[in-house]
Amino acid sequence: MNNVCQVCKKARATVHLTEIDSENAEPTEMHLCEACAKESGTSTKPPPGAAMKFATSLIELHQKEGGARTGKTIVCPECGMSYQEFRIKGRFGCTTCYDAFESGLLPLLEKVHGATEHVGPAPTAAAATEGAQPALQRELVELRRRLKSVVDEERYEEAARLRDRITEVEKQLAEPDE
Amino acid sequence: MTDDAPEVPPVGEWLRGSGPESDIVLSSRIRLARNVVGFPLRARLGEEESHELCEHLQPRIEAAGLAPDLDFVSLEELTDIDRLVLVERHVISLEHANGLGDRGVVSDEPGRIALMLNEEDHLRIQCLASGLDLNSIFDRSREIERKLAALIDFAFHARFGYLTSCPTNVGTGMRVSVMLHLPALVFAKQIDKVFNSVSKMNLAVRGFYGEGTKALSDLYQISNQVTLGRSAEKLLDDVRRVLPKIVAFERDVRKQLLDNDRLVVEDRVWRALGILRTARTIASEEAFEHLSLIRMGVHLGLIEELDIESVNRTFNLCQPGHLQASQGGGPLETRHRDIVRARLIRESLAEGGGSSSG
Ligand SMILES: [Zn+2]
Ligand SMILES: [Zn+2]
Repeated sequence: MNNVCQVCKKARATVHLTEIDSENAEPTEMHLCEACAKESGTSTKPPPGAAMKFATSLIELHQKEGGARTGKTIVCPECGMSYQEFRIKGRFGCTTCYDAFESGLLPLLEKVHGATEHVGPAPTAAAATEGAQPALQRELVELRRRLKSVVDEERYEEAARLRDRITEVEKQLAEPDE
Repeated sequence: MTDDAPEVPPVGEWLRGSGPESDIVLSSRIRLARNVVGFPLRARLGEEESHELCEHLQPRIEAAGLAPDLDFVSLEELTDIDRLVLVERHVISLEHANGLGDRGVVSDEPGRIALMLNEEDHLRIQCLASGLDLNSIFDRSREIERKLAALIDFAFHARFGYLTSCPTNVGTGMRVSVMLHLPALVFAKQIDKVFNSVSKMNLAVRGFYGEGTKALSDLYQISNQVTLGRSAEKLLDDVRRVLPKIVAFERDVRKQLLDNDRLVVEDRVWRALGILRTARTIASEEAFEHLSLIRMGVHLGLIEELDIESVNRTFNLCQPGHLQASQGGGPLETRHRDIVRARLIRESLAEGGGSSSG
């Protein structure tokens, strides 16, 4: 079990709770100090159903935070999901929600991941940075570009031909140089 | 029984029982969560849009030429039991099996590659390997992701990285996990030490759940806790670094148990085999419990008449989905299942070879 409180990350954790994990719907443990547990409405000896009550109280806490920050309900302009609905479901309605709910999201990400910024290449950069042979590399980029457009046009026979050529070029690129 | 009776589905990749450290590490898995630009996320995806999403993804996955022998299956067209078989083979998640609307999976037969369409995220790319083999599945998942990204616009945010339905997956969208068999650490009551040290390292430990809510058969899954703020390589390394230590710990305790309590260990292992060879009705939980000890016994050389393949095969057929599929695919009530299970186990672990009739 964790020794340090997961909320304040300072005090010794003495309250241990089981919570439903968002990813696998399997129980995971929460470790809190006495003060943070009290603040979130959980007693030291949680009765049955306390984990659920705790989860709900956290939602309420965040609703208060979100409300205080803006003075009114935030709603995603793209999909119409409210910040409250997001906090209850734990799921975004669309990718625009990330920007719409940013003010509430940042502290949440900090708590879950201990970070608020992605580390790693963007998709296009990742695709362009491998390989060493410039001519083949260029051909590959061009082939992939064409493959995308023929698939978008639902020309699947030509897509199959392009794919075979791509596999060929990739094999050549993978072979070690002399 | 006739020869054309349905057979138990073959053992999948996760239970193959080979690969590095496979006496302790059952399987390694990497899962990437991706969403497609232009579609709402799962919580706001309507029936028609779910269909459109699958129609969008399927031809692009085919065109990407990811691997030979990949097949598309629409989950709506499967029976509950066939979906359960896919869950038990670690090809799809339980959530995906029980989900609603148009959704599918593209996978190879053993389940080394599985792409879940319209799961919690639009696309989940999963690569799996028997034993401890994180590097190769990391490379494979990257390769698949790269080929798909050339044809599909994945939602990517300059600050938050790959956008996911749930904020717990945002950033890399990557979950690295390893399934461990730790019977000696459980037996010697040392498993809490693993939980302690692992949770301090940004990793999560979960039990392996069967039908019930109780963790089964000394199986534990270790995975990265966070997905944001660390590169994919770093996240992989977080899991990779800690594993040799846990494996060594389990091995040390196994050796210690043998040195100090050989007779007690032998007694437990052989009793477990005795029960499975004689039981007339048995629930999956109890079967898994005994199989766990037998598995350790085989790896420690205490039981020489069984090989690890027959233990894995027996584990495979004990699972409720596999068991029901082997009996014709119709639902069986629990009581009947337990009787069939006991019989299949007796046949599978029979003395003098024990290879199945199939
Ligand atoms: Zn605290
Ligand atoms: Zn939205």
